[in-house]
Amino acid sequence: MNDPLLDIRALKKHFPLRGQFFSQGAGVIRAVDGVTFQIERGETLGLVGESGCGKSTLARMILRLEAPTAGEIRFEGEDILAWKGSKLKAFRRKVQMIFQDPYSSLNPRQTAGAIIEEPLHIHRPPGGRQEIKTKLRQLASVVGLDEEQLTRYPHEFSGGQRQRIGIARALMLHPRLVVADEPVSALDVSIRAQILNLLKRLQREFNLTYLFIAHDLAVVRHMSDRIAVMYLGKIVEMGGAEQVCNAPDHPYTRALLSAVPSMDPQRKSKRTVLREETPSPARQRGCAFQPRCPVRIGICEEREPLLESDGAGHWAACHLADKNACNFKKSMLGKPIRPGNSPYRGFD
Amino acid sequence: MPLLSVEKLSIDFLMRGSWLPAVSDVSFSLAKGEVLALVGESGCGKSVTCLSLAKLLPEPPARYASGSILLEDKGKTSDVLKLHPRELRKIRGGRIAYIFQEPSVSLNPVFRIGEQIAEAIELHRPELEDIRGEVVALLRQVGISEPERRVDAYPHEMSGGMQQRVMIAMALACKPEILVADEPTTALDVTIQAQMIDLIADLREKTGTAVVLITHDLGVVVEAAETVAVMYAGQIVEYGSVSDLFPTPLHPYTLGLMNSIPRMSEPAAREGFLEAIPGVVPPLYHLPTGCRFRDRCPEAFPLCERAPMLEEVAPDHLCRCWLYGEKG
Repeated sequence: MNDPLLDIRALKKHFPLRGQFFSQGAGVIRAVDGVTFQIERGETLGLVGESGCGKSTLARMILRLEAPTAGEIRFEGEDILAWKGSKLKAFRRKVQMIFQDPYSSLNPRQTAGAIIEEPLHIHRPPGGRQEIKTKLRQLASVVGLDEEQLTRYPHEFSGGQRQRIGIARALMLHPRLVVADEPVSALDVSIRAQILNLLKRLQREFNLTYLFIAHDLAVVRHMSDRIAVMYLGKIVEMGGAEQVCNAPDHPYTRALLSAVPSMDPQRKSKRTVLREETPSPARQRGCAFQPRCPVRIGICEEREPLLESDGAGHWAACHLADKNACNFKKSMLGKPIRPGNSPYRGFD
Repeated sequence: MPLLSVEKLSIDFLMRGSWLPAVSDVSFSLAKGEVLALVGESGCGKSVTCLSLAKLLPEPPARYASGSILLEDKGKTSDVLKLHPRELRKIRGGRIAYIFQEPSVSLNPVFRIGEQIAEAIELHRPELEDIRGEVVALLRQVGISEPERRVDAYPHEMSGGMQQRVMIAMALACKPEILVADEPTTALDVTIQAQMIDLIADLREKTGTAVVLITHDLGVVVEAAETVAVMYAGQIVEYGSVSDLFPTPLHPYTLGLMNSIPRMSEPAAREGFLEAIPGVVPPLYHLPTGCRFRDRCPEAFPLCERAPMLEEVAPDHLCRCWLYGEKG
């Protein structure tokens, strides 16, 4: 427990907002605004949120495709933000990504085989050409592609097959952490299950750690050990998959859960209908969810709730979360209560 | 008499020099105020079926090979496929209106939304005087706040959910009897999806419009529809009421679809795998002979080499499978 694979602390990414002509500093978009979490080795952390909540920006920062505005990213205990050159290249071997859209993430002019083996041409393994071919064949069969298919081009494959190519490419370098950004949302229902099963099987076979990003709570619950719910750049709730889905503490999580259509016609879900749509991440005052919240109270407009733990690994950022009932008055007095193991310790 | 009945509709597409069956022998009916869901994966023919309801498919590449689409009007029925273009124009938007999947693509970016909604009203309800007032009322009806101001907004000034509401307002502008919604929630966020389902249900209650809902999401079907037709490779494979079909799906494909979705109501098995349907949907130029699902079907047996028919296997529950019927 004390040596997480990935350790993210108070990570922020602010994009400057372009103003009118000649005027400067029109403000910032807080795409990711103080996110802290850890991923243990071999676990799957599910990240849920609606479009624009910053989950993809977060993923891009973890892969070092985007430079954070502030905060820390530690991988295997080391600060990756300081790395460059060969160290960064070595890091890139260990963290790979599976993309959402298998139609735009594969080069149409390369054959499936060339796409899958390309990472090995960049990060040359000992063994040379023959080794690469052997690895390619092995991996192709693991993800369910025929050897004969490796000479074909992406347009000759269906969506599910393309996603298999993308997965094989991501696994070619035996990464420790795989960031899967909406890996099944572009696929048909019957194909989705195939790919989800494949991802689970590969996790076992290669001892992978996943950051699984999706907007579909049922899929995330199926795949994840723990779930983090993001809203406008912040994590509003985090905990074990069952804790978050069965006993959500944050009204946004409850609304998300109630929006998942029930498959049982006898039990049509009773919905918490959210008032407005996602406000822009540019505005800030009080709780970010407060304008849409069905249970907001006075303090929500004044003070932003902190992500607080119940002591059993279930975190929520809400003034009304049950576990905060006793802390509630104190935080109104201006002294936010932080549990001893706060991830914020020493960061703000 | 049903408002709309589609009878043995077959539609072909010209591809690679030959006619391929995109829709084969599809029959269903729609009563006033009913919500019928067409479910299936991409390429199963659900969108083609729906576009054909107002004869919107371009010919060629499409060809209405056989069948009829009977639309009832004051006791008389007429076949949409045989109507004069002038008559068709009255039906399109007037009696049958469409909501498409991607509102940001369907709306014209260079016109204010009010003008776009007004266009339909000017065409179909020329007797109306206060068109702007009507547009504002429509926007209010679909739940857009400050409609007096929003009527002058351009599409890019609105979020996806708002744009979809505008699309719905536009579809309702001429008080259609049938609303065809092609994946109306797919491009939207989960919480907005829920809002749209509620809005469509609410509008149906108020206006009595019948709805044909196309979706690939079985959850949406349960939430919004009364009757459901499951389509696979251009055919309806199972047809029945939602309350009947969902607890006891018969066709192996329907069963497979339901099993391949992780459910919130069941305890999550962290070690568990989903029961995926093996293989992929066959392309139109490579349909298996006999039952089109037999390559992927766990129950396939020799009889499946002959094509099964869609027949009633329980009261109001139709299925196209040799496991249940005599003809299939």
